[in-house]
Amino acid sequence: MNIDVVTLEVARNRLAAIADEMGVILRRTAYSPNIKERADCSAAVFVPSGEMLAQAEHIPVHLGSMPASVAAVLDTYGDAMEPGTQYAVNDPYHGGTHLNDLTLVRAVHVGRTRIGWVANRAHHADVGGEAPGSMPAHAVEVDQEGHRVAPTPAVRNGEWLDSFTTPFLAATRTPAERLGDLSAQLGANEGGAARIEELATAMGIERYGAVVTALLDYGERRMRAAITALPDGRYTFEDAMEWHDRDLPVVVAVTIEGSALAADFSGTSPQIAGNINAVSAVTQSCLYYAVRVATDPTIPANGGCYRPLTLDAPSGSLVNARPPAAVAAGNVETSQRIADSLLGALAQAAPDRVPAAGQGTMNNVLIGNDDFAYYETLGGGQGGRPGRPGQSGIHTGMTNTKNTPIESLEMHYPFRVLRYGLRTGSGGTGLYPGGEGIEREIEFSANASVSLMGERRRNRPWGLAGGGPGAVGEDWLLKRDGSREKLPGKTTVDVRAGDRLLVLTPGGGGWGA
Amino acid sequence: MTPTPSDVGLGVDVGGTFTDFVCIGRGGIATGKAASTPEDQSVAVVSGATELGAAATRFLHGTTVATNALLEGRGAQTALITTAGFSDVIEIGRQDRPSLYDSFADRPAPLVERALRFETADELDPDLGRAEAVAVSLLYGYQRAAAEAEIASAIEARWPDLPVSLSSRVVAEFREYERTATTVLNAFLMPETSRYLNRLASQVAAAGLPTDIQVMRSSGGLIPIAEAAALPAAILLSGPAAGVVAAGALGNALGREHLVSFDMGGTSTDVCRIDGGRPEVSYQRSVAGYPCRMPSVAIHTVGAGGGSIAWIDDGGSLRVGPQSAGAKPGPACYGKGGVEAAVTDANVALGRIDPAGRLAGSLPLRPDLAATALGSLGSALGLTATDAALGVTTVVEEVMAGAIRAVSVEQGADPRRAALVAFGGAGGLHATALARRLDMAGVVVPPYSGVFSALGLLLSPPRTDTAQSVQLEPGGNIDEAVGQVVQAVADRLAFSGATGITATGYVDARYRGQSHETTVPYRPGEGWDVLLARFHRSHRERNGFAREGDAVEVVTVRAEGVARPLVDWADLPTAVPTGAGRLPGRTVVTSQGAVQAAVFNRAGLSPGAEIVGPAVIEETDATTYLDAGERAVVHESGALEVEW
Repeated sequence: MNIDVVTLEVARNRLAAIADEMGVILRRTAYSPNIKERADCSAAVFVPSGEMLAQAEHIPVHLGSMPASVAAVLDTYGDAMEPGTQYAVNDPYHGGTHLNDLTLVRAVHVGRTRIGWVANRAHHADVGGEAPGSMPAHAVEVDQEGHRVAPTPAVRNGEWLDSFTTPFLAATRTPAERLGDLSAQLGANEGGAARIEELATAMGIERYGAVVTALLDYGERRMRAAITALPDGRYTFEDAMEWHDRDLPVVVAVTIEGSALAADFSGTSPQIAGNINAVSAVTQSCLYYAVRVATDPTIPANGGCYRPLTLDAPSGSLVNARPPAAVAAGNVETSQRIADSLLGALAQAAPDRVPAAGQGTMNNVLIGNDDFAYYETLGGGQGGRPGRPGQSGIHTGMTNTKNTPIESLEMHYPFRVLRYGLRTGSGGTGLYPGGEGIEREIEFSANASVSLMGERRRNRPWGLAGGGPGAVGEDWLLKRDGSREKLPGKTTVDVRAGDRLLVLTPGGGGWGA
Repeated sequence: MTPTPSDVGLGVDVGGTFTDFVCIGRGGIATGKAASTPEDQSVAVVSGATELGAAATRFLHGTTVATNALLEGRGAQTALITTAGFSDVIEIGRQDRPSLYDSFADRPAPLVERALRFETADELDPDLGRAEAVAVSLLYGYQRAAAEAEIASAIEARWPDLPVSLSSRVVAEFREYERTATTVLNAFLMPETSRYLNRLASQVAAAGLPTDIQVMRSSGGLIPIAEAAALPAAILLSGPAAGVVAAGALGNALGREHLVSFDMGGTSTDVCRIDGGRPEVSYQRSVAGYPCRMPSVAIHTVGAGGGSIAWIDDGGSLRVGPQSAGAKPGPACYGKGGVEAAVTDANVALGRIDPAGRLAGSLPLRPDLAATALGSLGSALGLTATDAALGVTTVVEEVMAGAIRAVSVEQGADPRRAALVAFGGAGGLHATALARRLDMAGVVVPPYSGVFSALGLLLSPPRTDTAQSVQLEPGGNIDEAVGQVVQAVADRLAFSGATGITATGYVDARYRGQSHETTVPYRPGEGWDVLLARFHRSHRERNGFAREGDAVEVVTVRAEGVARPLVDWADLPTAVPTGAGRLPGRTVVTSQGAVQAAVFNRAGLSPGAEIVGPAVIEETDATTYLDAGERAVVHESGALEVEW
């Protein structure tokens, strides 16, 4: 069936609007700040084969991992799937990323014909496990991190199934908040499914099928055009994750040949007994992210534009972990390094598009005791860009969550922010200097436990084209008695009322000499 | 028609291309247009006002002066004084970046350079004297009005002419970044805005025009000129807000409860939801990327208008906008050198805009150039020029439909019960296609649609808004907190001489632990039980659920005060038909192909007249197109009510 360009453009807008609407429903009806205000969530629409059609994305790390969740449901249930059933999954080894990210997947039918899928993912603040927030720093196995859900039926005809909710809510420390967020996820999928059904019914199933096929082909054409514009070649780069006093290599070779691009992570460190292992869906997301940054960011993210990309991540490595390895920090920290290494390679092919290394970490800070649990991430320096300095105090790479206003958080938590400013001189030198990191100092008014999960505490964010590296991050415990203790980037410490925590986040690398 | 010389109101709205005038007295209405004078808006304003409004006693003004100063970076060299340790909050913002994948997308540069950010100390920094305006925003400034005022006094003692904006006065709400950014924005805009308004006031006085000047604020009401000069952050949506108010007033007159206003201009389209005559108000928006925490009519803007250019992306798809041909060179059919096909070219090629017509500047349109532009677009797509034109209208309508979904479906409001109120030059050309696509209840094309915002000024109430962040839980003294702000707005309106004052209290409430608030009305004396029930219900409507057992907190109390507007829609003189209603028909391409369509002169239509599509209804600055199967009836107000 021939699809004209006008129909194609109208359908592209319409499907993007449906994905956006799902994202809006999710945020509007969610309960927790993490989804509502920080927007740690995504929603997407898929074709029956599981290729993604349109996505409302707020967090890059969800890019490639949403299709993995749909694929896992499809693999597990195949054609036995019932219309109107929603499936839940958070198992990193079956289409998930880390346990906090729970995805609901729902098939869309017209009559008995499956015409596609809708899915949405939200970061749940706690899913059980050995520490509040479900990212225990000491974990070596995924089951220490929380409750694991392999693809399982969760909703039938709009109603929760006890077989999913009972164990899930029993595992979490915050069941009421979880149920609020889950309801938002349920509603977003029902809303999206109704819109797709409406659209396909109005167009006719056969024509709808032809249109979505044409849209995927359109995405593929645009991505191929963008890759073709880059010079053929093999571009390699090596970066490293910091694990206690060891550096674990993250190595990539990117090969561009005509309109195809392949990334091979051979040589990357094997997985470790710790929580910085990334599953392949995370690495996939990083690849999609880096390619979009290095080519044309306006290309709509659909499955078609990922067809020209191939990923080779050695099984059992830091970038394609095998069970039962723990993975919480793989999603939030290793993802940053994977993206850095890919961008380091792509900078050689697209020197005018790729900035020097950004801060390369999310500077996760978790504070809590028996009465409260608080989680924040801190921005830092963006790398200097060809033609422009990097921006200061901003999230870079695989995350983009907002901060919590000081006047809001001090209302509810037993600590006070003494200082929140830019870290002068932390950006790498260069023609276009790197952006500056952040200094944040807080004083505790109650005894608490503090967990830090940060990177670039030893290896400086690299410069490009002769630019200097950014400053490494630092974490200090300033005790009430006047003594100071420099903390490792990944640690858990007990603090007492009157103690202060000072976090200095990394600056970005500089660009150009 | 000449207005009678007592209690005559003059509405003057400055737009990018034209400055519009509407003068209303008892029994008469006169309208006019003049080319805007961007280098000094007051030139066109005063000359047009002198011509049309010599008899006026009230001068109501919508201005883009603050908006332009922001967009063109012509604000003041601004300094900021804030709490020690927090002077970079203005640059860090919320830590997020504007685009996930475009590394070159920058957050807008802070309006205060680093060297002019000062932290509180015993003495003022001598460098402060370099600034042309100062913002003072302390951490928790919303409850530290006295401390901020003390700093202001110290500044005044040393630099008496330096204008100062205090966060406790501009926006006494929590969330340090948004409050500080709004205060800085206000300081940045103050010198340019007050220079303009002072100049305007003296020229208006010199011309013998009324000196009682009121300026439209973004929230949909008028404030005295001196207040606008001190609070420029509150007038950034001055013109668009007036159009929305006019749409609401017309809706009331037509007895329509639910509306969506649809103002389609040359480069962009503004839409806003109006329920029960009250435009939806939002308390936070961003203007040119800068957060502005001021109440404003909740207009959603998309970059699609009559001048939007059609293009083909590198995947071979037909796209329309956001690039616009603007006024210069304009669409190809303007004959001013534009070669790319714009939406207006498509409408000319389809015969929906009269190919034999003239531009406002009286130059004849060039349908041949429109055809050439669409021909080359079409040949690149494998389409005829006519199919390319139909494609352009279809694509731009889908983009605009997205804007209407954003203000309705995405906020839990059903567009199917609402009518679309279409104005702006191109609104009537696309309104029915859009409304039908969204299955809306109908379309209303108002009279005076070419000067609708200027008319809206005359229909707008004097208005005051205020807010104060608090921390209250059930049992706390809510009556006192709300009572104070309600009294404050009522007093301020009364003081300015307004009559027929209504002051309404609101509270921002949330479940403890939430990061977002739901705003609900509250009348002192109602008590917590009433408030909580209302909050749960409103939360369910907006967010899909309520948790009646959970703890609730009130974090901000608000009040809005409105007074009697100069005129109501019912006061407007009834339209008297002038000239012939029926014009010679012409060929128009409808969704069903080329047909002979009836053409009407809107000014010549009598109330009660019914027009069946395919038809075109023409007026001086606007065109309404009815496709096959659509029927318009002329209401006694002159409005066209369209159904299908």
